Amino acid sequence: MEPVLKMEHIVKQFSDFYAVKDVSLSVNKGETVAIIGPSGSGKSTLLRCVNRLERVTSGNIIINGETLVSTGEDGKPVYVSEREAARICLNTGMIFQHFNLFPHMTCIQNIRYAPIVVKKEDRKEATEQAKALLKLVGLENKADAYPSQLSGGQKQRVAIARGLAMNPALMLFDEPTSALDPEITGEVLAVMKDLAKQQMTMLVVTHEMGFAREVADRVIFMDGGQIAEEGTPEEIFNHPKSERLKAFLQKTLRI
Amino acid sequence: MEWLDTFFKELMETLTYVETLLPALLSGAVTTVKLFVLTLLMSIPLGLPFALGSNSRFRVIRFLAKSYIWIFRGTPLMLQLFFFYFFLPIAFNIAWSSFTTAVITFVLNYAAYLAEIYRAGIESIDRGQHEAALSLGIGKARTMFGIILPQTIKRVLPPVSNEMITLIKDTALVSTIGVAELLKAAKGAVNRDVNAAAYAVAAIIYLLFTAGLTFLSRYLEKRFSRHEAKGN
Repeated sequence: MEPVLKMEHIVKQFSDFYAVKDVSLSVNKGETVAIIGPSGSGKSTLLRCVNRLERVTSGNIIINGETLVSTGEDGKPVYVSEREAARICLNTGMIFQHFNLFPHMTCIQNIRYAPIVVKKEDRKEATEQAKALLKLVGLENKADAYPSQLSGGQKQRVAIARGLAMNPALMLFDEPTSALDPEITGEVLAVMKDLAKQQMTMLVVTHEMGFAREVADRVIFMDGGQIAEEGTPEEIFNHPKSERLKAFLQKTLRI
Repeated sequence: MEWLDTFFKELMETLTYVETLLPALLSGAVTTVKLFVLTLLMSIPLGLPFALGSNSRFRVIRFLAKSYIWIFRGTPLMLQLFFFYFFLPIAFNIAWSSFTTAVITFVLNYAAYLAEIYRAGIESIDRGQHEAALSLGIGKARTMFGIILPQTIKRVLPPVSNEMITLIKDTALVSTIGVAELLKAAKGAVNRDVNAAAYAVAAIIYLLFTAGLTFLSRYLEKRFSRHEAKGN
């Protein structure tokens, strides 16, 4: 079966610094893949390449069987037209570290905005769907609240609902709990866990080792812009092979 | 208590004198308000294309918008008034009234200042807003008008109202090309009667205008902050 996401030989260079050096990975339907690794290891950059928030320096990205970018003969990346790229990337939804909700809109408006203006969905139906999604993330009573009236955890749950409203085949999570107080990461992780259980396809960059261990089907450890090790949570957390992974786990799990 | 009697008499005389000034001053004030309102109504929207232009992806558009802003912000408003006063009749071969000349000059000048305020406001919106919009497939134009600009309004309100307060005072400049606005009316009365009271009355009228504007801008700021929570 065609994977939902295929990334081949991705390189991302910022002036003379290589953030991502030749990384290939694929995510299959229904799979939850966690990317862990120290800060600056290129994991967020890699994730942001998937929906063209960052443009790759070279490499191929294929989403749901459709090519977003391929490498031309001269080694430079060839992106499909902006129109095509936008259409292909509609298969992905993204959750950001800092939520990035639209502050001038209520929760319900945040969630239904893109379905209405991008997918031209009927306003009433979009509103109904938005309400259902709010219920899914446990915030049905916050429909008319503005983001500034919510806690961080609630904001992130609304952001997840907003992403889901576009009905993407793949959800990208860019350190979704890093900006939250430790005691409220749980409510966000619980929603993500539910999604994983419902066979949502997810690629999650995270510092939450507990989540990666418990929920991910596969864990990718990145270091220095490369995949240093990859395997099941059992393999990664209980039987790490490389010294780098051992050292990383020792540092993060010690506390 | 003779001094009190004298005081009241003088006060009454002054008030009677001021009353004779009022028709001329108020008619000047009406011209001032007309110039102010017309400039405001036209320059506020006109600033936007220049702001968007100076952020454009296309170099030519960026260059044109930035040049425009540079020229109108970089030269004295009074020079621009004089220039258009002489240039417009030659360029279009019609006799323009000094009032029309004043409106055109002010609109062009204030659009440049407002464009810079808008540009700074647009740039102050967090990158994450653009990224969230992109991740949801929302197009560039829709992102600007549906997501970025509505948030910009609140941020630019204080500097824009500041500009508007400057504008009400700048209208006095047009007396130099012969528009009979408030300052010119006051000056006429002072020269005729050799009495400075007209200037004081004009000052009070200007102060009333700026107080009204300050009040209005406070109200608008509050209105556009609705979505901000008190506390958390």
